[in-house]
Amino acid sequence: MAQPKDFGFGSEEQMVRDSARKLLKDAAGIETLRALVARDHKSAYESAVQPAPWDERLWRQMVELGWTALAVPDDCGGAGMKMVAVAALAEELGRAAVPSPLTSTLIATMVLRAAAAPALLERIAGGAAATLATTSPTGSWELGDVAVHAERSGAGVTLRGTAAFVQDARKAAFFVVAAASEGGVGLYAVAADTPGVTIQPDRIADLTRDQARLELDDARLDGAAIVAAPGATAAVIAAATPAILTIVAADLCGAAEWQLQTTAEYARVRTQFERPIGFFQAVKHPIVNMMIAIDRARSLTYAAACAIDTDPADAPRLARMAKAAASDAAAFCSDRSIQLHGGIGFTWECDVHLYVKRQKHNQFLYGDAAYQRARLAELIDAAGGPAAASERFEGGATPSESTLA
Amino acid sequence: MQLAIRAEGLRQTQRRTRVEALTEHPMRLPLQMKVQLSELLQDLAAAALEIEGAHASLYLGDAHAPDGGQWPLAYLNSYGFTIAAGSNEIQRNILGERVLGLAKSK
Repeated sequence: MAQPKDFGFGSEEQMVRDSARKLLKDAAGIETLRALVARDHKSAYESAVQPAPWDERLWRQMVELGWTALAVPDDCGGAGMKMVAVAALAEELGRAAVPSPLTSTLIATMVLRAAAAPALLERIAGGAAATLATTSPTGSWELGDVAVHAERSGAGVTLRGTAAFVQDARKAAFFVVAAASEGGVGLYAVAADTPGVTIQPDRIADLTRDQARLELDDARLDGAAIVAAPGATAAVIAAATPAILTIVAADLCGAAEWQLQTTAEYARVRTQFERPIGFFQAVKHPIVNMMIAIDRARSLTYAAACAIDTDPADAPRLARMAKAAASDAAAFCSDRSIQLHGGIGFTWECDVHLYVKRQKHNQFLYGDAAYQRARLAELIDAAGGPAAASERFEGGATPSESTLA
Repeated sequence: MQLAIRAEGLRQTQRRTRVEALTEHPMRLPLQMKVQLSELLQDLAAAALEIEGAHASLYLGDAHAPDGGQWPLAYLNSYGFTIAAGSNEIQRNILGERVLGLAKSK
């Protein structure tokens, strides 16, 4: 299927992006962020329980502006906007590094859409924050690896076990939990206040979000909580994965753009050897390389979003590429943003650490760059790519036999 | 796979160049194209030589050369692209100065 040349990014999508940029600039600028999450090292990292401050008033504004409803289909009370609009919003959230459960909620929305769960989607459109609890304590991103078990009890189900690496757990109204039973892995909606549910906050480096283990100790749910029946989860997650990766890639791109602009600004004003340091090619060229890495990732991110809207068959490939490129761009931009700020870059007072930590966190979410490339290789393998190429080698020497060992 | 991602990224950046709403600065993407394309060609050719292994020594006209010995030629010629039309070092100066406003090199 042909994709629109302009990524389907029209005036409506631009309006979403521009209004997000404006609100976050006014209400969630860098001074606000610093005052909120990084007033001092002691409270950020040394409290008995790590605080996870966020601006709940800003969250209500986001809900009123329809940001949680953006990705919810029309018939579930949402705006049913295109994925390119969701990507643009996620990019702005990354640029502002704003602590809010919106990214997690958008990601959960994609899973609930794939599972066709209208009642839960309506709750999200109404402003309920949701997050995935689909990862086991091993940290594997593979679906089969869950440490929660589901047991049928009457029309409902009882969950027992642990889900780990749950994003924005302390800000969520409900969790989408993956749990194994005899019939396979199922998905279940679990309200945060369900008896038997305990949130054990992790201590994390990233100060712009919270992460936790979710302990389920005989949490009893009724039949309405079943999002995907046992065995149906693999298809649901596979359908939602391109969108999940695109959202995280967009967040990475937005934050990397902040790192680029902030580092370029420093190189314009900081003088050494009687010149602004951006004069020197040892500084100038790496900054340009940050820009090149970002633009590659950003182009792939919008291509992936556009494929989800108009050419779903190609979406898995482009989304894996986008997440790989964005993770690599973020790693490079993080590294250079500290180094090129010199001594000040290594201090608490310099804001670059906030973004470096957020980027490191996003890099591994749903699989780092190497993981995405491995999945991509499988995709291309399945499509018969390398086999076709190896036929061109004469004398029967294929790359895998002779030189790739 | 990293090269495949760069190739697709370049194709998508070319597509994005024509979408004003998705570009921050009018010269930002167009000025990158030459740098990106020439370095991709060079790295692709280098990877092809690595894959060929000993066969990479076989040049144009050799009966046993894979792809008629085009890959060693492509690799050697790739420096024409990274140097010509303003070397990529000069291109990076221009990008840094015109797009990011860094101090001029002279």
